[in-house]
Amino acid sequence: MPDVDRFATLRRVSGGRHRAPSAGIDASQALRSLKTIRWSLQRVAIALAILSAIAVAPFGGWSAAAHGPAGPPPRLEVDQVSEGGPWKITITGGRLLDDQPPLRATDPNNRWVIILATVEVTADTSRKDIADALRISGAEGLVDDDEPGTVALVSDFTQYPTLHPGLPESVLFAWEQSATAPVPTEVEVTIFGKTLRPDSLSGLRQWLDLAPRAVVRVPIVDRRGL
Amino acid sequence: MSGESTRGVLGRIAYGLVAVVVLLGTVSLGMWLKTYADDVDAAQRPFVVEADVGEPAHGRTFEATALEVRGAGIVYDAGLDHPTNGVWLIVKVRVAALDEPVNVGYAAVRDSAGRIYLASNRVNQPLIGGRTLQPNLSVVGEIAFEVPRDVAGSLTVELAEKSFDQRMDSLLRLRLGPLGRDTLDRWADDPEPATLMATELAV
Repeated sequence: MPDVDRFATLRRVSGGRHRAPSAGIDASQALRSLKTIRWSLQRVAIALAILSAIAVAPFGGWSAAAHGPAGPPPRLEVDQVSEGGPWKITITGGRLLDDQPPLRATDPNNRWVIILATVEVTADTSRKDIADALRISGAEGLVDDDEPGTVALVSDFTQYPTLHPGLPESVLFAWEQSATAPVPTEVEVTIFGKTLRPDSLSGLRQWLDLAPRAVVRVPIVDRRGL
Repeated sequence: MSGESTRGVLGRIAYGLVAVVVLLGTVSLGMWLKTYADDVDAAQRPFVVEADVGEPAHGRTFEATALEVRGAGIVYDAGLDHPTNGVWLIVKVRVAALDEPVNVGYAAVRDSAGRIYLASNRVNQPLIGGRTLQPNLSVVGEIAFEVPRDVAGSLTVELAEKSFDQRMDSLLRLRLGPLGRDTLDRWADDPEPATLMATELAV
């Protein structure tokens, strides 16, 4: 069917280009109009995409994709354990510190937002990716918006330590903050976990799918100048 | 029906039967391969070579011998004491490249529950990663690991060339002698810091 004819058919169905849609829909006429559409591969793909978008509604809509099947992560208190893999984490407090050794800011006038946590590896193998475990929000002017600038053991300040199964460690996660940013009194800490599953490409079982597991509101104690 | 046309019909039936058999065989083979390949970890596991204390284990590119094991609650390194919440295991090994220069990139302790404790990155480990071994020149040094006091059962030290991926390559597994909980507690409670020996040629 020539394009001009098809447009004419569609205009008849919709009631004209500038006319508001009528309250009643003639289903049989709509079906007939579908038959007049030339179904190219591209149009089939678009139709399937639209149908898929509609079909997710009964299963929780797009919020399931954004927050995982269980919805938004639960809120925990300070000193409450977040269980899971490959680590369990207890947020124990927050600090605001001046730049000082062994911390080293990109600008010595900047300060550090510190989150203290007890981390214990629950996986069967030592982990080197502990920097993935925490993210913060609610503090402005962070030099690194995402990963902490430094992750270290409290006991001897080993940076980016390898943590071992069954050996809990007190770990500090430090984000450098611009000196001109407002002083934070509390931040929201998101605890992330991973899932042990076969990798899609290699088939090897690995800890993948970094996903938020819990959220903790942490007061920040200002220890600058001490 | 003539004999020639009968043969033609029978031929087509036989052809169809053969096609069905080949199809079923192919599907069966595919299913068997899929079952086998599903456990990729097992299919691509390293080639393990085991040895007891004092006996050499020969890998593809290097050989290693566990000489002795000691423990501590604190390791002193680079001007700092490094305490542990568990116990430090310090394993003395002799290693040598076989044909070409090689680095030992992977060292770990495995317990009998299958848990793996990588060599600690809290202290300087001169034998792991940084030292290039030369063929037939044995080197003796120590490797430090942190394990919980209640580490399960008998322990082995694993050594391999590649640091991240030990699949489809030799993995030396050196069995340590039996270490009781009393021994681990005694080491862990020792207030005297231990220092790793300097790596040296075994002459």
